[in-house]
Amino acid sequence: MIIEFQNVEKTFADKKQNVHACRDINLTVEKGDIYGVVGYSGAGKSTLIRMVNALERPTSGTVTVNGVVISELQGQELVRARKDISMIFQQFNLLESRTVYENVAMPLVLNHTPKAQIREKVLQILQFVELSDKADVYPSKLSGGQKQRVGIARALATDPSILLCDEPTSALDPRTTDSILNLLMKVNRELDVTILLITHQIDIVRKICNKVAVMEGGYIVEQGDVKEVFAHPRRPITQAFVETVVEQTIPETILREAAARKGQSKAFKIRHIGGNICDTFLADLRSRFSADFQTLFISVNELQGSILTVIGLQVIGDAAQIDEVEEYLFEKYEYEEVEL
Amino acid sequence: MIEEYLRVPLSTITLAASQTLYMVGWSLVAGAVLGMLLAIVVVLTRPGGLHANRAVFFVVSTVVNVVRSVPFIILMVTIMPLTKIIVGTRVGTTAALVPLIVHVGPYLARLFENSMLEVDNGIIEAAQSMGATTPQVIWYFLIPEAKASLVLALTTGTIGLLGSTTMAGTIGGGGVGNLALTYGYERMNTPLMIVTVILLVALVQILQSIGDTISRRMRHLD
Repeated sequence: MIIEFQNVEKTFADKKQNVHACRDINLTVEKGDIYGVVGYSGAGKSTLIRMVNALERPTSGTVTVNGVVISELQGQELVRARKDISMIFQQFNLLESRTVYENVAMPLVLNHTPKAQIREKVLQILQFVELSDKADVYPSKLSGGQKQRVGIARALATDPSILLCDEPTSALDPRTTDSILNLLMKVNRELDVTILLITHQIDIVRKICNKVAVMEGGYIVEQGDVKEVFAHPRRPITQAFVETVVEQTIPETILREAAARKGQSKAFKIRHIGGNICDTFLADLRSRFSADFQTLFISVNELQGSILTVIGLQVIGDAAQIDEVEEYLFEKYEYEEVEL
Repeated sequence: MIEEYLRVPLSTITLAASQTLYMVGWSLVAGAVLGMLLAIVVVLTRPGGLHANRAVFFVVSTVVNVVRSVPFIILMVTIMPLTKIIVGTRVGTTAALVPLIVHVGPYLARLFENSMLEVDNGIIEAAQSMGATTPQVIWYFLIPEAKASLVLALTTGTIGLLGSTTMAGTIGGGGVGNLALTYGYERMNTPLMIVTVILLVALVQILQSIGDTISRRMRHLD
């Protein structure tokens, strides 16, 4: 493991009351992960990510990074440890008084790297983030997406093993967001950088993360593989998050029509993760059973190289016919019954 | 011709001008250094700062406030014994430097402090996340990011200082202000008064324009 939180608590002592920003946090990030922590503002994710590079210190518990308990480091040791943990920010935090080149060079200047070596490194990284032509421009002339690219380039200057992303796309429009996400994936794959990111945008977790933790009120209420959590969200907050990107409500008009249908029927919501079942699903059921089928809704979603399909299905027939279909669904898929 | 019109020797005018320049120049340099040191201490030790320290913050901040509360002319006579220890005399142009520095240092400290507090906290966070040491945070992040605003602060300080030097005549500091008072006001030489005032106004305008221009260039917005 590369980052590990063990029983971490963080309390901010205010004049009037104690604010519990993080409670009972246990979280492990493995090498090569793109780990997303998602939650609404005030959930404690910002405090959590800041404990990884000791911008905040836990009130109790330990945060271990690359085998070192960073939450206890001081002075020079901490300064050295931070060189291996870079960070990018929602508001980019670039130096407005310096050019793109100088911004990217800054971490190397702080390390007293020789000028020639700085030059070589900076030009190489600027090429990596596709900003070679902007080297001598000041940040005020850049678009938000370009600013974040500079932020990423600056973060990569010291060849870190970990990149912390604090709401990296929250200040960007959707198209720019995608280009930054692609860049982060490239950083993860080509440069072998482990990424921990916090966000309130569940969609970016779906797009680039392999692991996710959901935070609420300072607690991690759910965590695991993105596929697993998206396919089977357990907590209401996770379901609410997932629903914003994976459409799974049956349209009301269709529900009304279904309810008005004559005869005995039952409606189900079926989830499947794996290959494309849009065509085969119903054909399969029809060839096996004599009941009548009505599709109420289909939602097909990309999820980490797999397809998450949610299907609303009404089965019409007598009790025995419906039972045998339900038994088959129980064996083959994950499903829940929908009230009509 | 000028001498006839103003009814003073030209050498008196140039002497006064050079005295003002001398007083403003040296007290600005020393005051800016003193002010910057005080401002850095206050910014670092304030609650939530990089090295938050209630005691140091309280003491420095209070000293700055107290000195700033004392009107310059009172300050000048109050610290005469200190002046005597430092420069060996209580009167004269050089003697005037001591109260000027004591006066303008804390004044600039407050202005510099405000400039540095304008720097977004995110910049400081970014610096820390890069593993910058405290001197590096100050030198590579805080001061460069605040410099456009620091220049404006320094401009304001210079103009204030110019005003203060006119009172230096009280302890024999000479200067343009003294010229206007002794030759202009007391001898009822109205033309000299008017010319002096016009010169001072022009000087302030020029200083402000220079400050504005440098500051704008530093912002890299256009």
